[in-house]
Amino acid sequence: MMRALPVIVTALGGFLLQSPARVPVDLSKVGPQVGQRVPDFTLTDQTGRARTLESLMGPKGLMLVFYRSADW
Amino acid sequence: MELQGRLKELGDRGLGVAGISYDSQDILAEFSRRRGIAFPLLSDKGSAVIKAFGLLNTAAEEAVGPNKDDPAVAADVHTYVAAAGIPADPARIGMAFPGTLILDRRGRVMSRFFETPYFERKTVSSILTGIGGAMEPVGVTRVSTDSFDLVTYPSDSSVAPGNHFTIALEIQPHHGIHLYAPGASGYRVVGVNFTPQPIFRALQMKYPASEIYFFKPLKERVPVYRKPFTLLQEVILEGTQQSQAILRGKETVTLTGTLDYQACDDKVCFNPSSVPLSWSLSLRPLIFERTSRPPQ
Repeated sequence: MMRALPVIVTALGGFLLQSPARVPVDLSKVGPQVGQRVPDFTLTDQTGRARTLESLMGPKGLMLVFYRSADW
Repeated sequence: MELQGRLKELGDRGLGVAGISYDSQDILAEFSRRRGIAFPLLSDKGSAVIKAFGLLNTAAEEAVGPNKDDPAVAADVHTYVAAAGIPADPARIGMAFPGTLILDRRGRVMSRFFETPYFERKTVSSILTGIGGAMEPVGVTRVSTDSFDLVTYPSDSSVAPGNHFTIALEIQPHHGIHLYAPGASGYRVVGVNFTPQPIFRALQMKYPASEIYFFKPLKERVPVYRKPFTLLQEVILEGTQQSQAILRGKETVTLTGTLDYQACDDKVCFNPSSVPLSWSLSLRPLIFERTSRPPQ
């Protein structure tokens, strides 16, 4: 019994030390895909007004542009 | 901001427009005032919505995190942070990957443009050209060959470094003529080849659906274009240091290349051929401006 213990500890240790390989970012896969419904949200715009997703819609839909920052 | 200039056109197409970033409302208010922005800029301070959309630029966070020396992390940091001129800085955590979603009224994604990193952004025209017909083309070139008539134009009359634009080629085969489409082996498939220049990089060519043609003389079935069709070739005007150095002081850029094709009629195939083409665009400078902030 005592003999077996170090083997088990090592095996466990090996399992715990192993972390999943980091997958490189594939930009075509990030974010909502075609056909998916995006989450609803409410955010403040530059005038301080609260805007829901619905309130931003035009008759045919919405172009929602994600950009890094207005600050640089 | 290019979007502001195209607002009316987007409105005419029935599309609302909104921008979203992790900036505070103060920063957005100042930016909006300074640039005369007439559409909503949403403040996602804390990045809750950016995260809910799955668009958090994780590379920016990893750039300052414990794994920053992991080669896989370093590679992505280079692509999604450093190459875009973003300093690896805790202040940049929370940024979104830049791109555009076109949503229908129910919030479903109709199209999306997130394919490339850096500060490359599809121009509004390029997006509109891609989703089917947009503005009056500017800088139109018309060519007629023995086999077809061609109308070609860039999606934008002006570009800034880092922008994508699209070259449209509207081809109308003459009566009885067909050109070869992707998948036609043994023939020269219709396509565009650009003269290599460090400032331009050809990205994807978007081919429309072709039809299968039974070519009697050789009893073979091949994918061809017989009816009028449009090729959309995406190009980027590089925003790299090298490119910006070349572009300094210039007011226009000219892209040159050839449209290569092979045409056949019902009986014979002609030799593969090429039409030389060029497209000129005015150059818009890249403007980096910081919103002025009170000293901390």
